[in-house]
Amino acid sequence: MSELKTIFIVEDDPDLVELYKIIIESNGKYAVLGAATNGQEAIERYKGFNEKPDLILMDHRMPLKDGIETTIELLKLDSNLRILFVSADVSVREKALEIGAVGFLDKPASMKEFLKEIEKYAENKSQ
Amino acid sequence: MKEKEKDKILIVDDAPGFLITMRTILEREGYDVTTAEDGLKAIEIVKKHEFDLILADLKLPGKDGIEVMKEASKNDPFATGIIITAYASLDTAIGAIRENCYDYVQKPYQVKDLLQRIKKGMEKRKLEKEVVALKVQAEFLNDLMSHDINNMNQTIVGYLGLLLKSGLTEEQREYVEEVQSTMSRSSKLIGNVRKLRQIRGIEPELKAVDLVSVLKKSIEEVKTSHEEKEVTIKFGYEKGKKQYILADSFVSDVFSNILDNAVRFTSSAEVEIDVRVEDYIKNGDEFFKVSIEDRGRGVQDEAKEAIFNRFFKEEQKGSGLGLYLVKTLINRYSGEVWVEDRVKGDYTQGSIFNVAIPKSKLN
Repeated sequence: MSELKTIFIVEDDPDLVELYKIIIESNGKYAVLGAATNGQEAIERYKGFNEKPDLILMDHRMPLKDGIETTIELLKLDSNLRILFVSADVSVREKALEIGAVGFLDKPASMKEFLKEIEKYAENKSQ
Repeated sequence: MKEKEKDKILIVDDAPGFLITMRTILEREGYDVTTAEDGLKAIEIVKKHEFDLILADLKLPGKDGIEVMKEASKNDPFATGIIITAYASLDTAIGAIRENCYDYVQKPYQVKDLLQRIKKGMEKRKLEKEVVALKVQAEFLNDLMSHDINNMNQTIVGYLGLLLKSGLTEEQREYVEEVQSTMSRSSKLIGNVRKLRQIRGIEPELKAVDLVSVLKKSIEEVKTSHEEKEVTIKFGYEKGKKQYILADSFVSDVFSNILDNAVRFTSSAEVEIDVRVEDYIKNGDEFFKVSIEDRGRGVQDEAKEAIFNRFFKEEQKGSGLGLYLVKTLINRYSGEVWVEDRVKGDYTQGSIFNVAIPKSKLN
């Protein structure tokens, strides 16, 4: 039986975090590991995880540390992390992919697009 | 009625006679006057206060007029000064200009002339302040729209999707789809405002772009974003030949917007669009011309140029700024965009949007 794939959410808008949780857990394939509301918190939380998340959803515009900086630091800690940017800031797309994000999803995205991208990039640790 | 605040002038000169004369003249003109007889005293004053204009003699005991202006600029980035001096030299003139000195007047001066220059200097300062304030406000509004409002839109879109899956009646489903359609336009508008701002902020860096590849991607995107309609898009181009245009990464927005409009403005559930790429020469220059033909409701002759304007508002579903973005981008590439009737003389049978972009030397 395949395990649930785990997802860590980094997003400063609490309504969006709530929405993402509902959508992600709606089809029974994924579990949300937790959420951080800024880059700084994200890095601290990550360091405390027992297991690496299968996918990290990364917002860009956040207080304290933005998505790009956070991604750079997280990838330094573990270069195999799969980080999917979810941001309205399309100007940051090239940079995000350059520094090692696996994908970039434009905001606002429909529920369908959202799940499609997650399906694409969330990978089991065993794979 | 509240009395209008007087404009403030600081005069710095070591000749007491000059100070008294200038004070009298300027107070009569309605200015609020402060005086200082030496550079050090003046610097103390400008560290604590801002002035609409500073009048300073070049030669002063302690620090000279130019140094006073230097200090004033540290406290007030808009500090504007007029240097008055009996000693003219090119070096000091250049020094004056460097240190935020708006003007440079030689003694003996004409009162009328000096008053004019003072007035002009103050106007310049006011305009500069206004421009910066407007820029700050524009940034704020843009930020609010593209981040905060956009996030809220995402929340709405997300819950609408969940609502649709929660088992609705036919009627409820219809209403939700109406909301989705409007949200889609809202998101597009926000996206376009954002792009326009980005484009304006950076110098165009044109490079060779694979036209066919960009078109294929835009065609795919438009199909997936309009699942409520059956969209058929025929794409005709010369196979086996690479077609490079001189553009940048924003060029896909040109085609996405036109294709999106083509779908939106076709009222039937079945949409047919024809996309063709051809060679095009104008005034000896070589272009690739992309024609996007639809069977939608067309564009009346009177509107054929106006639709590309920023403030154009369609009767139905207008102003997403899409075509304005298209025109802005095409101008950037030194290309051309125009619309013609699919059936000549009858705009109701659909339109052909033509986009000509210069060929890259890479071809």
